[in-house]
Amino acid sequence: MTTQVTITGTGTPLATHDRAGAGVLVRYGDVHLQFDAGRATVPRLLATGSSPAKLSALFLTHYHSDHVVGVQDLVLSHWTMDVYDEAARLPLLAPNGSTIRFCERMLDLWDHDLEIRSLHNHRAPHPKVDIIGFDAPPEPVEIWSSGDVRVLASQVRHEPVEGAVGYRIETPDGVVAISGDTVVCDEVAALADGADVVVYEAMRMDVIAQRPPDKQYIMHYHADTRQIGRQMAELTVPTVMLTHLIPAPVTDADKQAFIDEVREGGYRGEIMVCDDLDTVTLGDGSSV
Amino acid sequence: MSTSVIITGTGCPIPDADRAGPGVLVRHDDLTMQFDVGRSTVQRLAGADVWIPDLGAVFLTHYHSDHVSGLYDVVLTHWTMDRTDSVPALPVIAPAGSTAKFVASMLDGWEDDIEVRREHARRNSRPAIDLIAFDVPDAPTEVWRSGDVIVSAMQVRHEPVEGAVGYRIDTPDGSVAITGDTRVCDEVAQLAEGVDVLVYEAMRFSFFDDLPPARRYVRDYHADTPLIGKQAAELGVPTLILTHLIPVPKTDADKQLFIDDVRNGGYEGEIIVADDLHTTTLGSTPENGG
Repeated sequence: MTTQVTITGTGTPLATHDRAGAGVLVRYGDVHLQFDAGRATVPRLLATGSSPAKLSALFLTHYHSDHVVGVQDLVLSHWTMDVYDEAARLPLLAPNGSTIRFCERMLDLWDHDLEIRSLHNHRAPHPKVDIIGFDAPPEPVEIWSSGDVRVLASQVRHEPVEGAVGYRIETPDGVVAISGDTVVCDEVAALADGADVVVYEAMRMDVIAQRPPDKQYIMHYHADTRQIGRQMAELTVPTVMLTHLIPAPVTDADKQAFIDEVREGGYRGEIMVCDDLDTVTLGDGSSV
Repeated sequence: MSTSVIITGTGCPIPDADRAGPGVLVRHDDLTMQFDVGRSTVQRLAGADVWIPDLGAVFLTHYHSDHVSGLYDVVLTHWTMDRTDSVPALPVIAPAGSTAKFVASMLDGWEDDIEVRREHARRNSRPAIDLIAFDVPDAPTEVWRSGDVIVSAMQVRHEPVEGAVGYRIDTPDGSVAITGDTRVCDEVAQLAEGVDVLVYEAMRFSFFDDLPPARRYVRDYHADTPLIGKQAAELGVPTLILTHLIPVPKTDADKQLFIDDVRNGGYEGEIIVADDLHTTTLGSTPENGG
């Protein structure tokens, strides 16, 4: 068996044609785990060979529209694609507070659509989703498991957004950490301790610092490329996948600027400035 | 000046890696009008080089999730990308009833996100929709206009969904009709009378013959390809663009089946089995230099 980490979307709130909204898919055998669901997540899932109907669980990092604007489509598609009503219920795990409030209300507006479709196709009317809230823990705590796969969550630092978390996924092949949106902080270090792959959001602060003062506020709550490099070097993480890229790189030179800054932080491992669907495969950890 | 018709999404509820959800962008000069907003519409608009805050208006055909599930992203992005904090409310034109009700309350549930972004970015504005609801007319009726461009709506036949409409866009360069989701019916014929381009939803009914009965109900309310051909021939429409393609064509041979069906119906004009971002341009107006 192998564990595959695929970035379903490397984008941000600012729309670009080739970067879907935030999302990471982690697959180990039949266990398919999606983390966040920004715009266009559903088509990207299909492109990986997975699909909403194949997901074992969906995890959200925080309540910012670019991370959740694709959730409704994903949950509705999980239902519409399941034409013979065979799919298992989809667990949706998210930190308590605004993220869970959003989840609990997100299907309200679709009642009428679902009702009409159900009348017409004689199916049970509601998407099979189980919304499961957890209190954002101060250090990594297991919140979900299936067989050999464990998922842990820990708070990260994305204030003023409250209750933002990152995730750590452990499989027999290795460990994957997903920062979510955050500044570089000790909480990410705890999630990424001993990880084989860290999926890190990345912002080039030098570029943002040249914007007008009233547009610089986003520097308060994102991860600086040089500090990422320093932290990843300290943790000796073999592979770092950069995503949620700000400013969105268009050329190879733009990408190289991210790499150069992470190197300036002291990191010597593998750096991927990701495009959508970029994938890392973790070795064969079990002969199952 | 010219008018272009860009299919932003050729898909349907069943997701596909390459096909966004239903949507058609009609551009006339600087005016951009989006008809339906299925999944990934924002990305496709970016692919068509539309700066989202510049979007002129959004029109909805009916309340089925695949046609409106991208509206959140359009409305929120219309605001988040507006660096000037001065973009007016986005006009959203929709039939009264379930569609307008959806639009009226679609921002409920996003307040926490909007508030936290406003405070952090110190913005005074918030995402805003100018909802224009109209009673579903039984003959083509103007519902919106901007300069030389007139948009008319008319009911189509998509029961059991109530209040489904198609649209007709008349510009100095020519006319476009968009069926929305519907069976082939007289209403579409009225809407498409004399148009240059007809964007038609298309389903190959014969594909469902061998599927279990539980799968066939979708034929109750979609447009069968040979009937499309018959109607388009009677109307003498020069260009027919097929979208909302069911079953989803994967190969050129799959696409050819749609074409063959429409030809069997008697149509001899141009047929486009659209992929996302397919663009058709209506003749340029010579006095304005093209």
